[in-house]
Amino acid sequence: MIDPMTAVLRAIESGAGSLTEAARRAEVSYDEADAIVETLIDLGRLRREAIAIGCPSGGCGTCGSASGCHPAGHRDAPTLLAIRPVSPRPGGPSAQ
Amino acid sequence: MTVRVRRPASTPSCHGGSARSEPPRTGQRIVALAGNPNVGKSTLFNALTGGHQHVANWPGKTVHVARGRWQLHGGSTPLEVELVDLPGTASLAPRSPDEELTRDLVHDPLNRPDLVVLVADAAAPARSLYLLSQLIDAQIPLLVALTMTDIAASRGTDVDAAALAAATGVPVVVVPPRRGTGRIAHGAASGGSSTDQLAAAVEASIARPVLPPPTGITWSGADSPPRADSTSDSAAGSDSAAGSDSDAGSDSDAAVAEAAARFGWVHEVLAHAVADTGHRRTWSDRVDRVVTSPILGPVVFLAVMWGVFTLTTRVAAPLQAGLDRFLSGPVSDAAGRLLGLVGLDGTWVSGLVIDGLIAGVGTLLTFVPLMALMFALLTLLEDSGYLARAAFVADRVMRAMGLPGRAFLPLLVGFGCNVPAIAGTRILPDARHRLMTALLVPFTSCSARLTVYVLVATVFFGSAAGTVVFGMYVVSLLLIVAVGLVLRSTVLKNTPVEPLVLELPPYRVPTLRVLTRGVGIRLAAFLRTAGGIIVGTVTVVWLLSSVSLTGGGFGTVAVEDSVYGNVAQAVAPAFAPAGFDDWHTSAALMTGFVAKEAVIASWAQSYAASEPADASTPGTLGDHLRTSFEQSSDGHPGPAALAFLVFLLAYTPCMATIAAQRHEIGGRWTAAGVVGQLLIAWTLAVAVFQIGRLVW
Repeated sequence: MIDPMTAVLRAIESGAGSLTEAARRAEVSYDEADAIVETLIDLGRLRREAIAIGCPSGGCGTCGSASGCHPAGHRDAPTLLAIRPVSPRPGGPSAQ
Repeated sequence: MTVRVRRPASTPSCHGGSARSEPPRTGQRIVALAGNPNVGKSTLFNALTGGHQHVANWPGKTVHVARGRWQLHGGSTPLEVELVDLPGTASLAPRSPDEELTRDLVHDPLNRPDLVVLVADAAAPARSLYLLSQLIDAQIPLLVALTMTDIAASRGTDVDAAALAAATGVPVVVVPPRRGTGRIAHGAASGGSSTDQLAAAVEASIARPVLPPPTGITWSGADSPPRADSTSDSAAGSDSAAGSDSDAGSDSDAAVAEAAARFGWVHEVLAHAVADTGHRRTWSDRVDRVVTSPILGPVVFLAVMWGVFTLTTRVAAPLQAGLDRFLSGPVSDAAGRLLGLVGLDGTWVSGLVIDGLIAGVGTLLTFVPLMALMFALLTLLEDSGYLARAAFVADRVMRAMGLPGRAFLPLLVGFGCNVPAIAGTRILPDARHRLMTALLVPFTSCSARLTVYVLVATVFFGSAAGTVVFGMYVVSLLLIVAVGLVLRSTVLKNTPVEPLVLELPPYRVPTLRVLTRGVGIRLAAFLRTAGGIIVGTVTVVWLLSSVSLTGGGFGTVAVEDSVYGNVAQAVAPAFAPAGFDDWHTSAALMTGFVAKEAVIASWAQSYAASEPADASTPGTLGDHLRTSFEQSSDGHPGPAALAFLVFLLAYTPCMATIAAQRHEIGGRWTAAGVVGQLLIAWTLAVAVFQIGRLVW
């Protein structure tokens, strides 16, 4: 029998693209998946990083709209949150 | 290591020989409000204490805590307690001094509160239950105050307070904090006003004996492994997140195992007490259900982009034509007359100013209405949050094709400019992903190509111009997928696919301030950047077209006989199978190799310069292009124009991109990429024209 945390972690590792999808694959509620992900981030098993939809802050070469882009970290920048697993652990779900 | 979790208690009974009672205190009773952040804890505290409160550092800590007096009325004997509003905490494994206070307090045998009221969010109960499991295991008198029930109901989540109390063994009171009312679900007498009921529940819970922890997990915190007992019949058994074979000495794995066991308990409690009907979704959920759907999502994305390009070209095209007529007519005439007044008419200065700068920069200015509208629409999409959904859809499509999901980020940037997109491949942790993505980026259709698409599409396809431009972006996406699949199955076999979960930002209503600011900044930057490139290119082209290979004087040679014209004519036959072997077009593609912004300026310059007799009224660039493509394609200008657009999309974007690629992936792969781009571009262009001329 698989516990909800392992199920969510496996769902992410097997390619679930969103929390909703991870919850569906793990057969838990969205609320549970959300809480589990937050806990896994606290425990260092997942990593959250804000990613900008737009140009990077390091300059945009000859791009005509360069200075109009929102670099990562800009307060107006819409971002996605990417949750990426950290390195797999011996004996962990990814190794099974 | 095995962690044991018992099934939820069937009743909240206070029976059992192992239960211990808290010794009565002689001083004032202390009741602490604990809970996750933003669950309405402080609102409840303010409602219960009114003005009888003060905020100060907790003794021995640098943490501000609000404390106040609360006069209980619900019990048989009225009682005043000291109410403490503890900082919000996600768990008893502290991440900050604020959270550390809660952990220390509940584990301090001398100073811990007489009762902890866990304020739990009914709309997101899992997090609260996770914290509850830790509080239960700390063996402290507990009461659950359930808030946000109205929000939970609006989301289709129904928390059965009585069932929750039965499953956890902890009394539960439903307390809408905004009204300061509640009803007792379990563990205290019923009747009286709602505030009295809450007070009665608190008074009853203070006197209630502490039960052994129903979760069966002995709390350990994050710093030490849990002391789990016995075997498991629960979700935290042999297949836990930490793995049953994990090293028992690993604190990290032990903490994960403990968390897994707690979520197993949370899952069972939720199954008993929470019904998620899911019938009432928010409007945001309903929109996301469509725009991020695996099937409808890509369709919506394509429809949105088609709408953007169609609206842009239809609205902006008349303005663009008017500007073109104005710049190529009255402005050029005025400049010619002005130069004539100072005796420069017919000299090389006249050629540079009228045929070069006015023709080149003037053509750029005709795109101002189009770019302004385009930037406005894209800013709306971006600011509303839709662009993030589009990225989500793109990510899923790419992963379905077996391509690295995270690669969509630099590729998305590539639709603005390829140079930062190449640099952006550094976010990919895998070297093969970086290489593959850097080779794919040149096929993303950067904004510099957009102006050429619009010009050619407007000239040759009239009202269908928007659809043609949209089609170029579809071709770009298809090229990325096709080339990516080829790379994966050949030189980059066995590239690992990295898991990636995306959380979407909330939708926002775009504001006029953000819209105008975004359009203004982008438009100014477009004119500044493209203008600089065009002026530079026009000057170089003018110099090359003023120098003769056969020894004529500077600036007096016919452009066809110049260095520029001769090289372009030498290259032009290569495009004969694609239907656009006119030397003006091959010259434009040569300058486009340097920067795509220069393509239209080069066309404008070479057509103007090749007809010096008509310099005062050179006609629109569109007329020249139509005539030229008609001749070079033997009467099939439409397929030839499409072939030209496909070639423009697929061949090397610019020198800056080549330099960026060389820096990121080395000279060998860059050279291979350039050769590949030219071959793909030429092959596709020939295929489009040859097939097109058969059916059109």
